[in-house]
Amino acid sequence: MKKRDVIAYCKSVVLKGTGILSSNIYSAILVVFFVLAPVSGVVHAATMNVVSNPNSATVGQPFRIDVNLDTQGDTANAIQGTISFPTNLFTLQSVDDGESIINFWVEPPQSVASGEVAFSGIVPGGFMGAASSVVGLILDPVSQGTGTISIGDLKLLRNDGQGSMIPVTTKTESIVVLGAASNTPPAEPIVSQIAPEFFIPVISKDLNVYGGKYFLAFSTTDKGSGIDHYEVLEVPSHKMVGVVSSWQVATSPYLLQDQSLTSDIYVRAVDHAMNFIIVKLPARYSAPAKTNVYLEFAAIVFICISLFTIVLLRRRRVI
Amino acid sequence: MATESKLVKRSSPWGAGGAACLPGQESRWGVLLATASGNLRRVWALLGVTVLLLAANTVVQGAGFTYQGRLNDGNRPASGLYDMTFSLYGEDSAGRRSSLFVFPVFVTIGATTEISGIFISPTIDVDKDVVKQGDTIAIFGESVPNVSVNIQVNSDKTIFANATSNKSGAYLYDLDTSQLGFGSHSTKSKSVENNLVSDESAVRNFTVGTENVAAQPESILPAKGDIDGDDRVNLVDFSILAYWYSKPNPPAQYDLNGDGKIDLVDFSIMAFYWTG
Repeated sequence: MKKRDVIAYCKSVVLKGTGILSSNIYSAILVVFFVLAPVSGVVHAATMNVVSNPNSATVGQPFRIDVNLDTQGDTANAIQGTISFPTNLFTLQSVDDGESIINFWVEPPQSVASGEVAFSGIVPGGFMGAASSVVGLILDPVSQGTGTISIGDLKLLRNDGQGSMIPVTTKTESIVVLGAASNTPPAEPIVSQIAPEFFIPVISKDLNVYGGKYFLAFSTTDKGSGIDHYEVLEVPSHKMVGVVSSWQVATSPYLLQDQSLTSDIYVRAVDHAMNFIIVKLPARYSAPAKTNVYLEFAAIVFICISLFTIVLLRRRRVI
Repeated sequence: MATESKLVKRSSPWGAGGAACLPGQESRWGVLLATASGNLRRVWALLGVTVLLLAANTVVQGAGFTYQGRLNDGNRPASGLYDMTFSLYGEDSAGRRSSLFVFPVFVTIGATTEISGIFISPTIDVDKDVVKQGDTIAIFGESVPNVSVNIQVNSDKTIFANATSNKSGAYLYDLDTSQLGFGSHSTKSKSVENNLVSDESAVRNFTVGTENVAAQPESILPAKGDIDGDDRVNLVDFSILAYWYSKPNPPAQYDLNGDGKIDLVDFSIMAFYWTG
């Protein structure tokens, strides 16, 4: 029963119960109780809104929009959605998830189609709160007009061990794009100088992942602009990391090329502002000593020749 | 963001108008997860701290504890106002855990933030997974000593019952199952002390059938999500599940909700059982 219906009902009862009869007094008391008591059983849906402050932009001046979440008292631990924006007005300059409540991205926020950025991720242990950032987008206005930025394909799952859905509503944001004044210089981008957080990759194996071969699991966060990508480099432990080394762009889980685990493993986490951190996992095992067969053969030949020469020279002296 | 933390037990009562009520004697507190965000500086981190303090002494009703930590922002001590969310649970003498009590805390430099009125839910268990209709099923657990425990049994008709915890915090109620129909039922409880009502306990399921089957002891190990079998649910399990995300024909043991696919619901279930 909605609150306005309760109030309307109460008003009608009060109007009727004007006589001083015990039944009407009890009705009035009940009405007062009904109005003052909180209406139970009303479920407040969570909200996920696009927020831009201000809600206007200028051609050539990148601006930021945020997707904010308010769980309305519920506890959520998984979020999925797609942000849509009109491509005739905006281009995507970058994604900023540095302030996101998401701890682990299942699908890191990225462009999946023209004018669409999809994301999904989890918050282990759950999250309950208001106005919390899920992801930020830096959009570059390219032409004048009014456009709507919206969120679709929304899923918000409850931290209940069953993944039950939390009802969620969204609010779109209308952005008015103004033409650039002729004397307005292009905005200088604000570049984060915060590097990703330190992390420790883990080597593991599972029969159902890469056919049971060793893989590397890794994850970190970046408070400035968010993680852009990871790179992995495997270097045999007896070699040095070269100036030009073949770093491989990688996602977790990453199939290790050296399954003997005798290589040092370097993982580089790079954020959207190109700050990075490199961590090293020392080789788990030592490589067996390798001998050069040809070198051994040459040494044996040299020794034999030397011995023969010595013997020959001694015989000539005797003679 | 790096942290150091420790859980320190204080013996003195805690806070005006409230108390930290913890279940039973020799119980343990767990700060399962703390996620921090700076309200002014918007710094987010998963601390991933699971701290268990094994109480050496009997827990006294109304006793509080101090949680201290060190918050760094990069290599520098953090400075500013930070919005932190804590999840707290109790563990009783049998190793059963209460449901999580989640609460936000604003922490600022130079100030001690005192939280009161935390009333952790009781633990709950039953002695039979399947009970013969007409027999009794024992519903029990632990809470604060000497308080009323409201027990709710969900059936076609909801049944309410009351028990009182003893001086050790243990409570017990024998439910006559003749009033229940055949099939699945569930029960949960909450504690009441003066004007304070705890959160509801976890839900414990049982079945009314034609024979009695003793309940299997509940494991404190994660029930789901431990894909690599190391008794923990962490990054490695997440990576394994991520490998199979949206791929056809995933291994059945990875499909945490049994719907034949790996999607966000499976990750949500893993996130619930996350241990770090």
